[in-house]
Amino acid sequence: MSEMVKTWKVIVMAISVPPLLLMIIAALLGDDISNQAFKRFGNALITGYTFSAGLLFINMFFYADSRQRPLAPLFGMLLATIFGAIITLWLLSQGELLLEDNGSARAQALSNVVRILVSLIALMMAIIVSVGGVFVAITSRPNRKLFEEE
Amino acid sequence: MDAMMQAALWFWFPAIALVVGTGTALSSRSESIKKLSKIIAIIGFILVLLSPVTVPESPSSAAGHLLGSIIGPCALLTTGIYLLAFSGNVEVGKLTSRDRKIGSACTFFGLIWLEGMHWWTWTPMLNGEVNPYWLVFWPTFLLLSTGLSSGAAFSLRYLGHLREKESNFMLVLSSLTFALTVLGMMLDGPNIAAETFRTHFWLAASDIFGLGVGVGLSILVFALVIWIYESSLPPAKTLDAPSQQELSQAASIISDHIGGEQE
Repeated sequence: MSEMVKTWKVIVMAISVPPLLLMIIAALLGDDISNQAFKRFGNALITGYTFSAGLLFINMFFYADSRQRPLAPLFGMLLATIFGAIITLWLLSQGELLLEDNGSARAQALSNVVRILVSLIALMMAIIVSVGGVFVAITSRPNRKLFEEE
Repeated sequence: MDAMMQAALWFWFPAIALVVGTGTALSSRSESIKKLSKIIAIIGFILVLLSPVTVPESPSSAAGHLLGSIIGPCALLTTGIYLLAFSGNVEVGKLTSRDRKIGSACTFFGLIWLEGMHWWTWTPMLNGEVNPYWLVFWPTFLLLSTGLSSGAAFSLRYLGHLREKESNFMLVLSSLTFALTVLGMMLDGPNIAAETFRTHFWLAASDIFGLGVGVGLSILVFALVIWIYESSLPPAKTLDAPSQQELSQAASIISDHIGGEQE
């Protein structure tokens, strides 16, 4: 295994180990919310897929620009987005399967969209703190001497 | 006008305007479109912020309330980090030492403000209850900050050269957010009980995992669509190999331009 692959494995582990440790601590404190967590996971998955497919459909216009505007990939991605939206509405209308505290499939779908936006704001702030923290740490150090003067 | 139409008019259209306006302002090449997009995004943002007043009965307006509640500490934190980063050792556009002090103060008060929302009485409250989206934002932010800071620390250590001090700083940051999460799970705040926080921590973890899988799936579909299209294209026309006459002509041109002994 090359050094680079090892390094990337360490970094991926460094990103995932603290959240996993937190989950272990939460599990040790003993709450059973598996049903709610499953519903939340399902809702996040279908909403994340549809939302992201929609954004990638818009992105396909830029791809089409560099390929003499073919319609096939645009149509393909539009179908993938519509498929995601239909599956989302179908799953949400299956009664208690994915409904959380909302009374109807429409209310749940709208709540999912708002939650995804709030999660994105949280992600953005976490990136600002961690990447900004790296910059602050790097620029706070005095300049290092790379070569000794002769 | 029924409740659904009012919610659409006062929350959803402004929210769409905010997202589309920001996206267009960032990606458009035309200056006039950029300016128009910025105006649309600002109007959308103000209307979303006002949604708890304009459509108080809509559950979605809680997101506008959250945005209004967290904009202060988030702006302080972002400004503080920016001022701290650019008042350090940067070659171009270095800010003054006064900016560094302001940056430190902004970061400190931004963090205190955010912490006060969990550990003190500054929690975003809507109709006498904790704003449901605050319980989405706060655990998600802590969980992601812990992981990303730890990832940044190890990246500095393994990819950077002599960056141990910076790496240790990031490990401290990661440990701080880790400790805050554990404390939230074990101790009750004035408005958020430890059990409530743990429940929402699990939900935030499920949210992040679900979002990751969903986004990954859509990227896979995107790649599949492009691959199917590209593989259906006829092979690109290739030129015939050069003839002997073309080769000797090229050789004579090249020989005229190398050497230089005639001069």
